[in-house]
Amino acid sequence: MLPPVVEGDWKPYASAFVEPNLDFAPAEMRTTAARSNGSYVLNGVKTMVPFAAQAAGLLVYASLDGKTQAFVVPPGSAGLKVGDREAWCGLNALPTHRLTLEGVKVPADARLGGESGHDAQLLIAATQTATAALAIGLARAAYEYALAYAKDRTVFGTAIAQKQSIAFMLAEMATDIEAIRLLAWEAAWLLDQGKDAAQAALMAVLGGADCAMMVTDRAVQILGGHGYIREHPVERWMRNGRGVPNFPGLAMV
Amino acid sequence: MISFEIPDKVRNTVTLMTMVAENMMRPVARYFDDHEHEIPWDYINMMHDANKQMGGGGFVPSSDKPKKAPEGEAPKKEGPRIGYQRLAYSAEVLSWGDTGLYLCSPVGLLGAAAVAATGTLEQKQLFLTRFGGEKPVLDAMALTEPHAGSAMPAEVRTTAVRDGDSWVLNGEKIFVTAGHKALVDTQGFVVVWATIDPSAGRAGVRPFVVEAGTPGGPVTKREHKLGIRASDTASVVLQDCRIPLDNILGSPEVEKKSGEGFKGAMATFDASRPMVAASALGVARATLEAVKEMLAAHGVTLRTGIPRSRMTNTEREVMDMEILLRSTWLLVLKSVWMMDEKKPNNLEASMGKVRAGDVVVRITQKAVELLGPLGYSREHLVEKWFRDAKINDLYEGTGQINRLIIARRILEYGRNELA
Repeated sequence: MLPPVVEGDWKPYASAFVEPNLDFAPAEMRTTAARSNGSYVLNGVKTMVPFAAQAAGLLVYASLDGKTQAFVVPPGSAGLKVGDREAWCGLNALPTHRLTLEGVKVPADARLGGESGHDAQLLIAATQTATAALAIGLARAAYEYALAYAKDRTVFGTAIAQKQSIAFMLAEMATDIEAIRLLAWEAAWLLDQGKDAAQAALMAVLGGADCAMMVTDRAVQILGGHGYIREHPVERWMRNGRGVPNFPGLAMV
Repeated sequence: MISFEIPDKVRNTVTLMTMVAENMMRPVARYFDDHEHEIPWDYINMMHDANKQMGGGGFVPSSDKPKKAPEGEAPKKEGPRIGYQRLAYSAEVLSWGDTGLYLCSPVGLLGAAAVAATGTLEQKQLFLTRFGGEKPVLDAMALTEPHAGSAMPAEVRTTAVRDGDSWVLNGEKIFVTAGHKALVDTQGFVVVWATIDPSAGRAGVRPFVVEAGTPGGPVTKREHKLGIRASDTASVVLQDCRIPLDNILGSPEVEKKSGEGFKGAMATFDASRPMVAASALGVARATLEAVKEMLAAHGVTLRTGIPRSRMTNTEREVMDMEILLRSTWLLVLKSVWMMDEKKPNNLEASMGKVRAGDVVVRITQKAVELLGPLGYSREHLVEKWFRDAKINDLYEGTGQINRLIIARRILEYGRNELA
C-alpha cells in the first residue's frame, strides 16, 4: 500500500478524522465500523477532510466495538459522498471537505493492522505532536513579525519596542514558544524511542494551542489597528492559530 | 542528539535527595514555618555529613572545582558534563521537600555559585573547600541595599577602598538570604557586591568575599516573612570591614569602556537563576502532587486522555498545571544543559526564572482555591507552599527585571534603548 505513496509523484492521501460535533473526542468516534460477512461497513459523517475531492486514498477513522480504528477507503466507493469545499475561519489555503459515509463497504484487509487492528493511540499521539510543532511554527512566525514591526514603528519619538508594555509582551511570547517547543520535542522523542507518548503528546498539543492563541493575539495587538488589516499577515495567523485545537487529524494529510 | 533521559548519576542523586526530602524535611516543614529563626540543626548536620561522605565537594559542579591532578598521571576521560544539571535536580527535589530548609543546606549555594562562576583557582580552593570541613558552613549573597533592589548591581553604594593589603568595605546590605547562618551561626562567608570606583558606575562594581568573624561585618537584623521562614533573611552593616586583597572576585582594575570586570561578575546570575527556577518548580511539583492526592482521597477521579471540551473545571486546571510545570522544567533543564556545555545561557536563564516564578505562584494559588478549606488550612502544607512560592518571583531578580533582560536580548537592545 505504501510504495505508490512514497515513490510516485505527489498525490493527496487524506485522513478523515474530525467529526462535526461540538464534543468531538478522538477516542469516541461517532462514525462506526461494523463487521459484515468478512467486510467492514462504515457509517458516519466526517469534516475537515483535506483534499477529499482529489484524494488518491482515504484513511477513515471509525469506532469498531467502541475502539477507534482506521480503515483504508478508496475514493469513489459506493455510499461515499464528498461534500463541497468547506469554509473556515482560517487555514484557507487548504481545501477540506465534509465526507458522508452511508454503508460504505471495505474488505477485511482495509483495516489498518489487518485482523488484529492497531493502536490508534499511537496515531493520535503522533498527530498531536505534529500539531503542536505546527502551532509553535505558526506562533514563531507571528512573534518574529511583531518583533520586527515593534522595532520599526515609532510612538512619541521612540520605537514601540522601547516601551516596556510592548517589550514585556514580546519577552513572554518568546518564553512561551521556547518552553512549549521543548514539550513538543519531548513528545516527539518519546515517540521515536517507542515509549508511551500519550500524555506528553496531549500536553504538547494543548500547550501548543494556548501558545499559538496567546502569541498570535498579541502579535495583532502589537501592530495595533494595522494588525487587524489584511495587508499584514498577523490577522491571518491569529485566525489560523485559533484552529489549532481542531487540527489534530488535519496534520495527518 | 537530543535526549530527554535523566543521566544515571543524576537519577541516583534524585533518589537520595528524595529520601532526604521525605524523611528530614517534610516532617519538620510546618515546625520551622511556625518557629521562624529557629535553626534546623538536625537537617544542617545531616546534610553536612552526607556531603562529607560524598567527598565534601558540595553542590558546586565538579567542572568548576579545583582539580587535584595527580602528577605524572594522564587526566581522566571526561563523561558528559552534568554538574549544573545535577545541581538543578537537587534544588528541585530538596525544595519539593521544603524550600526554607533547602536554603539552609550547608553545601554551597548562591555565594559559592558566585565564587565558582567568577573566582580564580586559588579562590575556589580557599573558599569552597570549607564545605567539606569538620563543621557545617553556610554561604550567602549580599546584593540588595535599602535604596535599591532591581537596579542592582548598577546602583551599588557600598564601597570597597583599597588600603595596602586589604579592601575596606562600608555600606549596608539587606535581604541577605541565609546571611545570619553564614556569618554568625557558622564559619561561612557572604559574597558582598561593592564598588571600587563610584565614579565608574556599573563598571566599578565587583563581588567580594567577606568571611565569618571579619571585624566590622555584623548582622543587624533578621526579617519576619510571608514564607521560607526556615531560612533567615538578614541585614549586614559593613563598617570599615577589612578583608584581604585577594577576596575580590574578578579584576581589581576598572575598565570604564568595556566594563569587562562587571560583565564577568554578572555571569554568576546565569548560574544562579536556573537554580532559583528549579527550586520554584520543586514547590510547584509538591503542590500539584498534593492536589492530585487530596482529590483522590476525597473520591475525585481525574480522567486522562480526553479533550478539553469534556473536562471538568478541576480536570482542566490540573492539566494546565501539568503543562505549565513540565514545559517550564524542560526550559530550566535546557538552561543548565547550556551551562554544562559552556554555552551562553543568559537568555534561557532569565526565561526559566520568569516562567518558573509565574508558574509556581499560579499553581500554588490555584491549588489553595481548588482544595477549598483544606487548601487554606494550616493542617496541610498547601497554604505554606502558596506563601513560600512568591519569593521565587522576587529574589535573584524579580519577574520584571528578568523580563527586561529577555526583552533586551531578543530585541538586541542595550540599556540605553530599553530601560
